[in-house]
Amino acid sequence: MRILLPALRAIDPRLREAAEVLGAPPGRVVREIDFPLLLRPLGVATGLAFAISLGEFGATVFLARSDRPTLPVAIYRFLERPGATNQGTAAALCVVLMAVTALSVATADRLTARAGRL
Amino acid sequence: MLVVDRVSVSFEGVHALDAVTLAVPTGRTLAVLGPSGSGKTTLLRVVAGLQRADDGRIVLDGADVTAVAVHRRGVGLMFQDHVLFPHRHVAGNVGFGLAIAGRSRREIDRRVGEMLELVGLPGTQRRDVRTLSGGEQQRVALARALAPKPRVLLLDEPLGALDGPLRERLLTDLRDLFAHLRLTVVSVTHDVGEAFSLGHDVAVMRRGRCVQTAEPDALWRNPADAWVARFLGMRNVAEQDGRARVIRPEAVRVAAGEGAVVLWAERSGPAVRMRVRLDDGNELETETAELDHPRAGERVAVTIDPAGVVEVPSWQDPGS
Repeated sequence: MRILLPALRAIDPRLREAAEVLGAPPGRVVREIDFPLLLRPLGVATGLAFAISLGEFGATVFLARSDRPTLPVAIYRFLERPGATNQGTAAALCVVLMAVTALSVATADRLTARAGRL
Repeated sequence: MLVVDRVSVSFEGVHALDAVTLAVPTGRTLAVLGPSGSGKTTLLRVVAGLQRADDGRIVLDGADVTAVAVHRRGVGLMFQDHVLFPHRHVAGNVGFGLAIAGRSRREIDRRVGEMLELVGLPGTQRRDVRTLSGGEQQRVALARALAPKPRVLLLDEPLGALDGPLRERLLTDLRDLFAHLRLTVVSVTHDVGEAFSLGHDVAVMRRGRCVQTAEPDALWRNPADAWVARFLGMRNVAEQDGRARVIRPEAVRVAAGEGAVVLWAERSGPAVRMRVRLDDGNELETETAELDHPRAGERVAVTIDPAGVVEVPSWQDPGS
């Protein structure tokens, strides 16, 4: 929402007027102008939201069930245990977390950039 | 035929349009000329339906459209700075109106091709509008406005953002295009030259009122008052007791001789503008196309063609 509101306001109101003059009723204006122009910021917002939830730790460590830990919780658990193998597993999971995060943001960005071009 | 009948609009008590009446016969171009803040853009917005009129009627081809919503009015509007849809390529912009109207893919493609041909941009269908130059964007905006065959085309400062030879070329292209398509056009501008060369008729606006409507030559010959004369670029306006004597620049002729001194002479485009001080103290401005014109400081003889002198009412700005 934080990212979308300014984006919605940043759409030049004259773009909507231009569409109206060309015959678009209000519903069509939203579909043809607001929605496509919001796709990119929407994608970015989704990507960021996903990345933030992936990395969320403080709340999940209390809420997550122990048989289904999230990535950060799993990393925490492995780090808590002694032994080189556990430390290594934790490090490996860190890399996975980073990769998935980067990938989700990049994909959202790429997809919406393409959609934005029509 | 477009008729604007005593239309008034006010914003917070200030009249943006004050009982403006205009008529544009089918196939003719009306240039609305006025300084910024004179209400010309508001006038276009009212005709397009983007602005509600507080009073008065808009009649299009005999039908009162004052209460008709924007998207059903069937007018074309070209904004001052194009306002192309950034998320659509050229064809997506030009074909927008037709797609909304539910035309078939084939018909849209054909019409878009035609329109791009018409505005001098054939084959640019797949181009990203953000990569186009200012002049090209303006042409795409024109094609977009024309594609759904509007009953009247409204242009807001169509050449505002352009300059130099490009401006001249687009001006000529627009004029030819309007004649070719027999379009009914209202074009708004603050530029006297643009209004004269584009409009069959020119309507001069001042503070929300339409002061004078006439063909360019008639307007030049008989400006309604001293303010109009000055706005058209006439400098020899002498006001006295509520009347003003206007001497059109082409009526002031300068030759070798005695009686006046040239204060300055400067070239503006094809003509040279000169200011001379007569020996009786009066100053006059004139133009000549001669290359061998008198220089500043030279003494000259000045004759005034009486046919180029008009008496008009003077005008006091009530706001100052």
